[in-house]
Amino acid sequence: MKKVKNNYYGAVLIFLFVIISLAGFPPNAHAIEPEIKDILITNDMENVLLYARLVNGFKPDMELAVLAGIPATFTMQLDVYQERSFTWDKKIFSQEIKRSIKYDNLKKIFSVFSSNKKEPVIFTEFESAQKAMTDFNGIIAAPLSSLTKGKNYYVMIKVKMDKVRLPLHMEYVFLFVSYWDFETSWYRQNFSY
Amino acid sequence: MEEKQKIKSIDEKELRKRRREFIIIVVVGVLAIAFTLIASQIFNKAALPLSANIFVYGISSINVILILLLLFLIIRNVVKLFYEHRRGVIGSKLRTKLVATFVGLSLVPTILLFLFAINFLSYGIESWFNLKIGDALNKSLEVAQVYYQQMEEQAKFNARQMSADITKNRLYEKERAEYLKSFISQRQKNSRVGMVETYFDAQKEKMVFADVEHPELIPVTLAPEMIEDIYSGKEKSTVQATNIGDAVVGIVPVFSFAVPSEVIGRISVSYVVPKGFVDKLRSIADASEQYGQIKLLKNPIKSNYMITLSIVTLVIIFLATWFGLTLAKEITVPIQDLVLATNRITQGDLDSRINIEADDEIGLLVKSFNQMTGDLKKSKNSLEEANITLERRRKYTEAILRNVSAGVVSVDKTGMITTINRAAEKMFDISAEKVVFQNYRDLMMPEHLSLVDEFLQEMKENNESLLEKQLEVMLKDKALTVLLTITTIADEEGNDSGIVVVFEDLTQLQKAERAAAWREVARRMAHEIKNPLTPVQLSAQRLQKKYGDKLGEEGSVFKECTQTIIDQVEVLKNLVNEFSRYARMPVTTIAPNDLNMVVAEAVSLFQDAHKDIVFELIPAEGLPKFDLDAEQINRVMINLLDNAVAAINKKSGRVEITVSYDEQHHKAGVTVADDGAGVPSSHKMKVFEPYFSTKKSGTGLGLAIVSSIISDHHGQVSVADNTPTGTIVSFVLPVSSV
Repeated sequence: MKKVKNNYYGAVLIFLFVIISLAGFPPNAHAIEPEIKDILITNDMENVLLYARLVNGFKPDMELAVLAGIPATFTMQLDVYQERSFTWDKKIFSQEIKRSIKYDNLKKIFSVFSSNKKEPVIFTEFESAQKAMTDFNGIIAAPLSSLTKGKNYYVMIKVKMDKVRLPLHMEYVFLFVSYWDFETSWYRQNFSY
Repeated sequence: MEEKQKIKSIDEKELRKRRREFIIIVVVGVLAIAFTLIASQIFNKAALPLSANIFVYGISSINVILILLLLFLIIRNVVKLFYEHRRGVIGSKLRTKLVATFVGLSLVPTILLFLFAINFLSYGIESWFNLKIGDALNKSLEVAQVYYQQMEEQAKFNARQMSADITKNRLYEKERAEYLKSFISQRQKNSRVGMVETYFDAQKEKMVFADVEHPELIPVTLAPEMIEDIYSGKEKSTVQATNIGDAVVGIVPVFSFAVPSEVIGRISVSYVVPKGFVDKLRSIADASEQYGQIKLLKNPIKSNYMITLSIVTLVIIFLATWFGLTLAKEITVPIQDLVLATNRITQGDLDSRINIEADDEIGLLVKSFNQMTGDLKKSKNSLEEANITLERRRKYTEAILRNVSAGVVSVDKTGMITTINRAAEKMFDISAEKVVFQNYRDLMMPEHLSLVDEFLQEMKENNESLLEKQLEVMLKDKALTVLLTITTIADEEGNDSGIVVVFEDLTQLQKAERAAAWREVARRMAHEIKNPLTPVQLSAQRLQKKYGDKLGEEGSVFKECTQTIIDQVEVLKNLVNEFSRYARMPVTTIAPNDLNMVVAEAVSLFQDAHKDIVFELIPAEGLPKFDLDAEQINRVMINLLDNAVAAINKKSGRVEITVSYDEQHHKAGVTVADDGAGVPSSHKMKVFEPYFSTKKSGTGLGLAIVSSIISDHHGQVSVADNTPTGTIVSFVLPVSSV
């Protein structure tokens, strides 16, 4: 009696496991993952500046989507921490930089919007526009005034792509299977002041 | 009882579980529908803040989880049903059939609809992306793009020409600024050049020549990258949106007159595309853009619709399955309860009731079932009461039958003995266990069987249902006089149900009757014969005395004859005396006596008289003194021993006298067994009658007197064969406690 009951519970569990497994694993696993390279921390008279480059940010299907007029947005999360010996490191500065690209098929131009600039930058070549999207040059990581001389600091950065807004709200259809979403891991760059 | 309670508790547990599952399924279903509606409402809004995104994502995830849960519950029920069907649980077969029917009924149209919808959808989606529509849109866009391109080319052309003229005439020099202004104004007038903007490194200031037609047009800001390109000698163009429409700007470098490869500034020409026209072009571009985007998502959209359709199909199937399960439960649960209750009733639990409230036929069935169970219980109770009464009566009848002195044997119509009472067992010295359910033909001796057949035949011939016969039968070594009554049994319809045979033992009664008759005969004989004998004897003696000596030689004959008369009269007198003694048996004087001693005295008398015969006396142990007439018992013993000695009829022999005591039944017995000639079976019935003797000199009154005395002592006397030869005469006396 007991054995039969266990059997049918087993059958149901196996079925659910298969369903959840099929739903949980997207069929298109990304082969090349986006990453952040060439991270450089420097400073000018007033601020600590960050230079970094996102590679593999644009995939072929994403390029097609952008060329079809679908806007894409990269968000860089930037946190500056002060290293501390006995307590948790202190976050002293944090900011988010958004960059969006939108292709105008009529004028054949790419507009790159940046959260720290009012006007978009116009490009006629997609390559230039991609470069503008992926090159993070001279980003103000933290004002020098907020740092203490002789202390050690580090910057944590990661870039993620916001959910692409598709026509007919198709982005909500792909709850488990997203083609263009990505998020890099956190990158750390130490510096001293 | 425990088992019943256990089943009941399991049933209740299962019912609670089912109720819980039902509530969960309903709640989950309602939540899934509600969340789907909320999500669809939110999707319809164009702009979504991040929090809304998270909310929508959360709702969607919950929705999926709920659908999975719903799926799990339904599949669990189906799997459970499958295993119940395999285990043969009551009601599972009907439930499986109902569910299969519902699923089948819903599956066929749903799948047909699904396939049709999929085909229709595929066709529809394909038709959206029809080549003609795509081409038309693309070409429209190309026209718009060409328009802008031409505008840009024209702007660049004009800018290029003006740049060449500026270089040629060195109008970039500060002192020739006036010439430059008049040159550009002239060009604006003659060549309908729009807004012109110049920048020369040497002057470090912009000169803007407003468009005559669109004076409100303001200069556009160029991207640093573009300026960089221009200074590297490239010509650039751009389109920027302004407040009055799109500004198409062509920018070319201005080279130095002295060093033609050196860029010393830039000149840009801007044309205005009016807002109304831009909007028109924009709508073409938007349509094309949307078309391109949708085309890009053609397959995902198709998949999405297919998934949606599949989900809807699955939901319909699940709902049908669920509905089937619910309906099947509604039908099968009362049936299952009915079956269980029937089983319980079969096992004897008539208190079992079904507690289902329903207004339909099931309710009527349940009501009827409960009423039937109630009636059944009432019937059972009355039946039990009747059975108890019947059983009591049967026991009473059996007790009567058991205690009745007559032997009763019933035989069914097949000849099988069905009952035999204790008296019959005792009478025939048989055990009821050995004969009941045996055919009487297999048990009876051939001579008795032929007798029975004769009686039955007689009844049949005379068409009588009752036959009475007095018989004298020999059973083993016992002679019995029985009154046989055969009665046929017929049931209420008059069918033959066998016979009842009643045996009444008349042996003792007959003995007593005979003894009484003989005593009467003896008394009369003694009275009638004895009186004339004395005168006869006296007359003979007188004749002998008076004439014996006078007759001479003939006197001897006379003397002999008279002597014979005297002797024979004496013999007759003795005989009459014997009869007289028999008839006038002295009144029994009862007093406590030791039977062992009484018997021993008699035996010792015979032992002395007959030295050649061995008399072996086995006294009874523990036999108390009891009421008996010692003189008469002594007489009995003398008669029995006399018979035994006479039966031996030879010099040597053996007579075994055994006194026994049955303490349990309060009886004392004496057996006198000899190894003499024995008594033939035919004589056994008559040995206790007067005047029956096998001895030549016997009066035939010995055993009659024995029988009479023992009868006076309320005892019984019997005769049986001894083995290998001889006779056993025995008597039994009741031992009353003294």
